[in-house]
Amino acid sequence: MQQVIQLTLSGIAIGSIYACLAVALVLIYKTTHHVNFAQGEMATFSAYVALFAVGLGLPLWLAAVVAVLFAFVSGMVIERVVIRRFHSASATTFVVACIALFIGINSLSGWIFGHDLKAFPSIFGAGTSSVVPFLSAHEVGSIVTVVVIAGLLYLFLSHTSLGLAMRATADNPVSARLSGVPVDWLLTLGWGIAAAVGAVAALLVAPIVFLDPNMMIGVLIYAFAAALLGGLDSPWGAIVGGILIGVIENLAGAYVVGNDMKLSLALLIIVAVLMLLPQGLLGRKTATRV
Amino acid sequence: MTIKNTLGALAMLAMAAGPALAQAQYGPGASDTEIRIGNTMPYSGPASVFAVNGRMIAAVIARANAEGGINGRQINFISYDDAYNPARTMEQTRRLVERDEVLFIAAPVGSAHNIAIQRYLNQREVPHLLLLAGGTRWNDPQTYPWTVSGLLSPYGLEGYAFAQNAVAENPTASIAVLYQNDDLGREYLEGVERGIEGTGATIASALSFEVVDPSVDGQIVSLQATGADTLMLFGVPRAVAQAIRKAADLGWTPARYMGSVASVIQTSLVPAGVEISTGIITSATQQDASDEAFQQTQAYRDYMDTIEGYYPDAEPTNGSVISGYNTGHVLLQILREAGDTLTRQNILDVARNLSTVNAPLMLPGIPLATSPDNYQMIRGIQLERFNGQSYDLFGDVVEF
Repeated sequence: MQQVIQLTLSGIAIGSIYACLAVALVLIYKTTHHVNFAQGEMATFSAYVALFAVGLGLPLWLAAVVAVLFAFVSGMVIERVVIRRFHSASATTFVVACIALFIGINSLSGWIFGHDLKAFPSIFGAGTSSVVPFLSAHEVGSIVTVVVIAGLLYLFLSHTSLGLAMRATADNPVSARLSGVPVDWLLTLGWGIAAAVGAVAALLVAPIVFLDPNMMIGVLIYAFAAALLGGLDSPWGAIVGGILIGVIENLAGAYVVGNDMKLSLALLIIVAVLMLLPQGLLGRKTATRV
Repeated sequence: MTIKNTLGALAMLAMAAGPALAQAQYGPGASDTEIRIGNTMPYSGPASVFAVNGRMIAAVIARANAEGGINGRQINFISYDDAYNPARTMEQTRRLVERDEVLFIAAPVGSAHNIAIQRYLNQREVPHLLLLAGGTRWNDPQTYPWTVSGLLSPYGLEGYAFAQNAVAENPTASIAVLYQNDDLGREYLEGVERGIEGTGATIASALSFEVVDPSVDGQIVSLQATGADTLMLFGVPRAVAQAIRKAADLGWTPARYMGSVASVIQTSLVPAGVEISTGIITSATQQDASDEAFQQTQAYRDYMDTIEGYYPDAEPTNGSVISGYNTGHVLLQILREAGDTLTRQNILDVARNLSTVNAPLMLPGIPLATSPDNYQMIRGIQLERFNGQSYDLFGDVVEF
């Protein structure tokens, strides 16, 4: 029994990190109806920026703030310089552009910061937590962080005029533009916010999996599964999906399919959701008149 | 007398007259002035951390060239990027053999990558030497006579040595194994299984993980639940480091062993935390460049000279830099001993008849040799234990 509790709690902890990256994917999907395959690599690069800032002598929390701001700005720059050109392109073209970004940023991380595995300190300190049994302070901190981010996003999207304008842009760009909403800038802003949320995910995952240029590749697969399971257009769904995936992965790995098949299970969930429940658990069903 | 016979008689005369008159013999890629050698390296992609091997081999060769070359010939070391993708390894190897016409292929990185090119090179009878891939499969002279293993220790034999040590410490050891779900991990596991045969020790549980799995926490929780008193970790540094940390977080303190693929302190134990890593046992075959006693030796000074002159960016304590240095020196030895008979057949004959191996940074006492019926170059390992800063060697060399 104790083992089940432990596996479940550690699943919630790692799941909350999948959730964080899934939220970043969802934010971009909501505004552009595209999936950003380079999300994980952009996030990894931001984690390197944080480590670099720590190396310059900044305290860790300030380095984390610097990294998130860096991600925010670079996300907007990438949208302006690269992604903008592909907004009206076909889905395939967009995917190819994202893969190019993926490979480019991955190589850039390795080239600038090296390919060695690096230890990454946790903002929440080392050791076990005094609040929740079985979990480390970092794991508890990760769960709390993800809940806070979700809350902030909710407030931003539903209680600020900027958030309202962003939702309008996502729902109906033409009508939004005619009503005077600066659609182009909001798309840029959306990429910036998504990159910043992704950077937070990287800062949470790096102390667990350690930092190297390929850190996010495995995480991204689980984050995709999480985003799809929760519903690609629902930030709340992404969080529920992420935590579910983390728990399912741990429990099924230990008791049902075996650890060899954990990753295959994530891929299986992706396929099953697409076939049986394309809108996901909390996503909105959409119909297009043809 | 036909012309052929005349030539034959002349050749015999020349041989009788001694080396001064001997005609040099050349296979593809060799001439009076140059020897071309082909190599593939993961300069980009997920395993680019290993590429320092190739850069260090190139540095050793550059130094040899600057000092006059080998038997008067300059060595042209052609090294292409395979991005750690076996399909690319194959493509680049064909390019090396068919377009660049290299004399032989040396030191390609990776198990799957060497498997990808092994059949091709053996069919074309191109020597495939000094592989930077561990494993006993490179010692198969019947099936693959042109493939001769290199200086990496065979994983299976390492697992075997760990198991024997665990049994010696605790005759009824209950062993939990975490292994990478591929050739490397499975070979380690088989070694452990052989090592405990006929003893009171048992494998309580052996769980696998995929290289891309973000976390092995779940496996460690399950392994701890078996109540095992010994934990063996076989895989890439990331997974090993996570496992060490998770076990410590759980308050689990078994006797711990880890495969040498993850034994670089900087990439595994520092990320995991040096305090919680103290006491873990692994195996070594190479010198540790941070060891102060070793730093007083001539071998170390030569090594540093090569780094300063030809690869100043190298991190001297990095195990891959050291293995590149060793591999480069064995490569030079093979060329030196091949003399003026630079044919593929002779290169192979030299490589599989090494009674001594010139690898200056191997630990003293590690037996090294090759023979036509045993292509396993490395024939023993040394166990070592992490003391919080570096490794302490203990026990005798375990010979196979």
